[in-house]
Amino acid sequence: MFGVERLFLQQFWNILERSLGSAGCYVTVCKQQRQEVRIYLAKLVGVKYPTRMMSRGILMNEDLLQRAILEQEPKDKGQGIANEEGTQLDEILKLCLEFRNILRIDHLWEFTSLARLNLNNNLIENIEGLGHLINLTWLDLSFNGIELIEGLESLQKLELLNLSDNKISVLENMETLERLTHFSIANNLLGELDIVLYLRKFKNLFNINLFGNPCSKEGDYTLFIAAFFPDLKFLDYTLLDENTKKEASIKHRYVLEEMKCEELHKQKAEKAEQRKEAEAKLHNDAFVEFLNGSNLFKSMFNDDQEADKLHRVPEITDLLLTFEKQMGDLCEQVFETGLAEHKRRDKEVNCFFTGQNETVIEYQQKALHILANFEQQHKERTVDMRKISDRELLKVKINQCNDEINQLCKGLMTLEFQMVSQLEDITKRLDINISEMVGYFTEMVQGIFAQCRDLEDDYNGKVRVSALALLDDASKDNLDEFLPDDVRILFTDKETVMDALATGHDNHLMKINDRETQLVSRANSWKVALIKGIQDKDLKENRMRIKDLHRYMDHLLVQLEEFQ
Amino acid sequence: METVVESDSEEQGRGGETEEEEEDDREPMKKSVSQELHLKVDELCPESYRVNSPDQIRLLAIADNFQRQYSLLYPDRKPLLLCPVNECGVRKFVSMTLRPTPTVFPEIFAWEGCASFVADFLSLDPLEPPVDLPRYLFSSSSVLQNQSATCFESATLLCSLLLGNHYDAYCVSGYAVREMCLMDRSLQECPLLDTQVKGKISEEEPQENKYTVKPLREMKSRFLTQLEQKKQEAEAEMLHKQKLQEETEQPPADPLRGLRVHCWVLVLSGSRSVRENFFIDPLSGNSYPSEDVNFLGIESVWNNLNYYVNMQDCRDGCADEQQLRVFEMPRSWVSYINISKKDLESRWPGRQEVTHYRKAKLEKFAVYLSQDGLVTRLTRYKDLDCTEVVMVRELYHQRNDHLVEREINEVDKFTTERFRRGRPFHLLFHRYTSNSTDTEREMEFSSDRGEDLLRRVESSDEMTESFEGRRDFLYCRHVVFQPQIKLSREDLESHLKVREIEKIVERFRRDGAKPASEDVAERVFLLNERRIELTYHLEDHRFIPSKRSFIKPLEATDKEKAEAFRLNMVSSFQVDPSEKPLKTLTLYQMLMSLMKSEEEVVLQVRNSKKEVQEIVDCREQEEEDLHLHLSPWTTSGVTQARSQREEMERLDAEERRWIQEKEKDVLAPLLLRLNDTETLSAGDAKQIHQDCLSGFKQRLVEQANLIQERYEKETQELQRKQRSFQKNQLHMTKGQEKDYQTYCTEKILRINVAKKRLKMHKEAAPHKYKALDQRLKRDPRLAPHLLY
Repeated sequence: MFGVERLFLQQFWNILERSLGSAGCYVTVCKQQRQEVRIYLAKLVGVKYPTRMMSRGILMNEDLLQRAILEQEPKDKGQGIANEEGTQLDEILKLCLEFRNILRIDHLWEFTSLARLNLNNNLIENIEGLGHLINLTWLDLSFNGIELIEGLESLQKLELLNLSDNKISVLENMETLERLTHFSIANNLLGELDIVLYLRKFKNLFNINLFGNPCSKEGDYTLFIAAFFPDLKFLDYTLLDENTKKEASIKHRYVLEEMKCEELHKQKAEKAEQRKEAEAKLHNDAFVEFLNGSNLFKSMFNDDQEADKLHRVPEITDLLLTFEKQMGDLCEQVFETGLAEHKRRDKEVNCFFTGQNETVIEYQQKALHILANFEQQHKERTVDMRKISDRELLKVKINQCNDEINQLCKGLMTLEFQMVSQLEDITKRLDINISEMVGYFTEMVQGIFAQCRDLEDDYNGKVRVSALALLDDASKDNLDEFLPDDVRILFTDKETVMDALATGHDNHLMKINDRETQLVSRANSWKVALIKGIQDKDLKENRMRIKDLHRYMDHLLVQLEEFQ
Repeated sequence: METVVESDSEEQGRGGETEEEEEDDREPMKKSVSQELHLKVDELCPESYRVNSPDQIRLLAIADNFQRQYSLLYPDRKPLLLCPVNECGVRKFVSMTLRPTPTVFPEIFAWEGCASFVADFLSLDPLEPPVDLPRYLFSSSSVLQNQSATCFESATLLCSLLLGNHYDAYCVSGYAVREMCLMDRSLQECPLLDTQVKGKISEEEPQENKYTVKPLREMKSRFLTQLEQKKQEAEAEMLHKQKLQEETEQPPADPLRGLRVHCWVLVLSGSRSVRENFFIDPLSGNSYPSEDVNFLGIESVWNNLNYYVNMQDCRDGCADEQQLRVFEMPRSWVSYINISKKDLESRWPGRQEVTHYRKAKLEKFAVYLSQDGLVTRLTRYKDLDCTEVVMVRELYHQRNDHLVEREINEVDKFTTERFRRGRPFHLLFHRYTSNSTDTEREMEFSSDRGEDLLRRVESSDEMTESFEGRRDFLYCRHVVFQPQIKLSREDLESHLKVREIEKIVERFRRDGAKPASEDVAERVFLLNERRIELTYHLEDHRFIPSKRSFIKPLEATDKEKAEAFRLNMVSSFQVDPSEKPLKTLTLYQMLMSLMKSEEEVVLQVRNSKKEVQEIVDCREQEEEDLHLHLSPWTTSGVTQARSQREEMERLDAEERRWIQEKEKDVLAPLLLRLNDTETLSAGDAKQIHQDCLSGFKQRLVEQANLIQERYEKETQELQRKQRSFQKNQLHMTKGQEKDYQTYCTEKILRINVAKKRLKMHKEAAPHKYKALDQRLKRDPRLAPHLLY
């Protein structure tokens, strides 16, 4: 409650200051008055206001922190408990270190759960030592001497950042603060409105305070902000109403449109990139990556200089072209089948998971029902037992309770085993279905690859024939004149040509085989991993549930023992 | 020739009369009505009603000729209805009695509307004897006036309306079953009874998932199942027997079956997107397929253009054969059928109707007829003789308390009320046994209500509230009150207000933002045991939820300090062993917030109880202060509104007049003293004149004295103050002096005002006196006496 008041006063102070500033007497009159008001406010808030002239800055140390923690602890019965237990620094959610003349931020690395940190009205000049406070949502650094924004990179959960009354002239190093909703940078040294545009990347911004900066003296500053921050609700604690926004958007429409256009382009590019990635992933999942188009074909003819030379012979070029087209068609076939099969498998797996989920939920309901019944009776029995004073009778009753607990255990166990066996059943069913699918897929693909190999054989045969003819021509010095020289040279040596053809053929077949094996083995191992994963998970969950049950039994039995 | 035929027709008309007179004892009712009509109609009816045009006479001759041939050719068949007598006693051919009339009201633009209007608006005038064709067929205009008709006249009217609305409609003369001819619906089930909302067509069943587990086979004794089966069979048989018994309760077969003459309307497909031919029974307004078993045979069919006779064996279907096509049918003799908006609204003869159905009675009332807005009342009976009421359902219209339906179940004594949206407390549904707060009661609220309360069900010791869409995910709150101890009446009254709560159970839906182990599923406040129990939501793939149970520490009393929080006041079961147990401080804070919640919840429960009382009171109040919203678009609404306005105007005028008179008459008080104010003697007049003047004078003097008195008083006060001031001037503070000065200025002002008023009064008084004297002398009551 106190904190709220303080916040209110702080805001009040800010508003007061703004009104003074807008009245035009800010520079001349206010320095003195500001000091006065601050001292007064500090008195109101219950803090001794340090006049900078008199007291010197102090360093942050564990003592100071310890004292601050003590101050903010609850003042009721809870305090006793807290004292007994001792407070862990990593459990503290809130820390208030205002009006303390702190010179440097330090010793905060242990406060890892801290969500709110007030460091306003100190003598801090650098933002540092906050790197470990990753859970921070509220950071108040107003009324300090900070010149640069830095050291905030890891505070990704930050929602409120107050940097008012510092000496900041540039907005920077805040890219990671995506959740920022309230940003206050009033009374700083921001010179130009364009600097503020930096904040456009924060989509959740709700309130900005900018008054008291050189840039906010510009005439249409409100309209400027309203135009470039269309989702902003408040500027300098003032509601930006619809009229203002409309006026602003009309005034700055050309610049705005340009910016929007740019942003749209960027978005489109990003989307395209994402789509591409998703596609690649899909192809990968379907085990047919790079099988569309003539990728495989090209890989077959990579780094084969002799073949390159051969291909420049017109007859062989023709052969190559038809071969490429036929190969491309076959690969495309594999690719399409792969995608279709992937879709089928996906559907099957999803179907399985919904079924499994339904089963688990159903059994959970059953278990809850059994538990609720048991607990109802158990409660009645314990109430009864409290009334009994006769020891013998109590013993009988306790035994009865024991029996009931065992009964419950048995019931839940039965349920557990029923569920496990049923889950096993459906897993088995999935295994069969998926194996069938994968089998069908691999067979189909193998068939197509066999066709590829045939094509290769065919091609090779034809090339051999035309090569022989050419060799023959070469031996008779009858070669076509238009052939390039290196090809001519090649054809002078029969052995090299035949060797090149043979190794090329082998290579091609190997490439095709490799691709085939890769596809089939990946599909198979995916299947095995899937089933194994499901089974492992089921087993783990089964064990967990049984353990839970035993722990619950123990819990009940311990409770029962209290009666004895 | 013309004259001959005309006289002929008149003769026939007379012949009809004489014949009728002969049959006097057989149908005295009909006769008297028609005679009366004759008298009236003769002067009122347009000429076409009384005389036949040459064309019509020719047509009649042709018809007669046809009738002769027909009876000669088919001696076995009954004569056809060709030229019955109209209300003026003139023979008219049936086709010409049809007068196609377009309607202006959208309600009766389609055949359904027409049929139900005709059925509702006309009361049945049964044929006598039921096996003969009627001798009379009145025009539709007079039928509408009388609101009573035979089935032939009803069919004629309906057919005229349908033809006017471009349906291909025909009147059908034939034979039907008894229930239809006499409009006896006591054997039918009431159509309103099965309007009970059928469950929405089940949404498309999700596709069969092949991975759903099969339910476990249950181990069952075959013997037991057999036994069960036998039992069920026996029950079914019992039911069957009962049904048979009920069926035998039906009356014996009709001896006149197949002979009862009836007339209805046939609508042929092809026009106005009618897909199939169908019949409309004009008496009930229902439609039937053309092969319906209730219609036993057809003699003839006609519309405004032609007349067809059934040449088949009359037990067979309904094929028609064209018969007449000699010349253009002359224009209808019937004048324009005028249906007013009022007719449409008042609907039934006498603006209400009672229909008896099997085990049910349906009463319908015109809108605004009954003071409480009742439009329909359906009474269901347990037995066929309709003695034992099972349920009464009433439908209301335009009530200011938004009630639309009330159902009183006489068996379990529950009253169920349904409301339109937009009433106090957003109540939509209310089910209760009695108006006292302590009974079983169910209320449903519309979603317009801010608190997301949907339903509140109460019984004597329990209350359950259901919520939807709450931010705290609460969906159900169940409260158990302590059983009521029977006490003396006074105690009871005070007790009723604050029933002690024994237990509150709140259930929450899963809040996706929290982990399951921190998301409370059920919160139980056991107020008696000073315990609060929490059950958390189930984590994925687990069977056992985490639990936590708190015992509230004792509060401080006069003697003892408040009990401190100890760890053994909490017992927790955390299902996940890897999770760290909560710290004592956290537990303590949790308990504190729970205790606070408990207080709030108890308050809410109390408020709910209070609200129930308020709603019940509100309903009572509304029932007492009931009126209807008048719709200006209905005639009765308009008349009522007008009469209301006129009444208001009248009252207003009266009041104004009264005020005026009161202002004017200065003599009234004096005149009152005399007994007889009408005649004044000269002496009295003079006396009154004198009295009046002297009275006025006295009042003027009194007024002057009053002002004088005021003036003196103020002056004295001022002087006194001044004196005291002079005496104490030296000891006075500044403030006192200031006070004194303001006091003086005020007093002086008052004195001046009084002085001025006195002066003005003195100046004005003689004028006023004179003015009154003049006025009295001009007064009509005094003037004659005063002049002399």
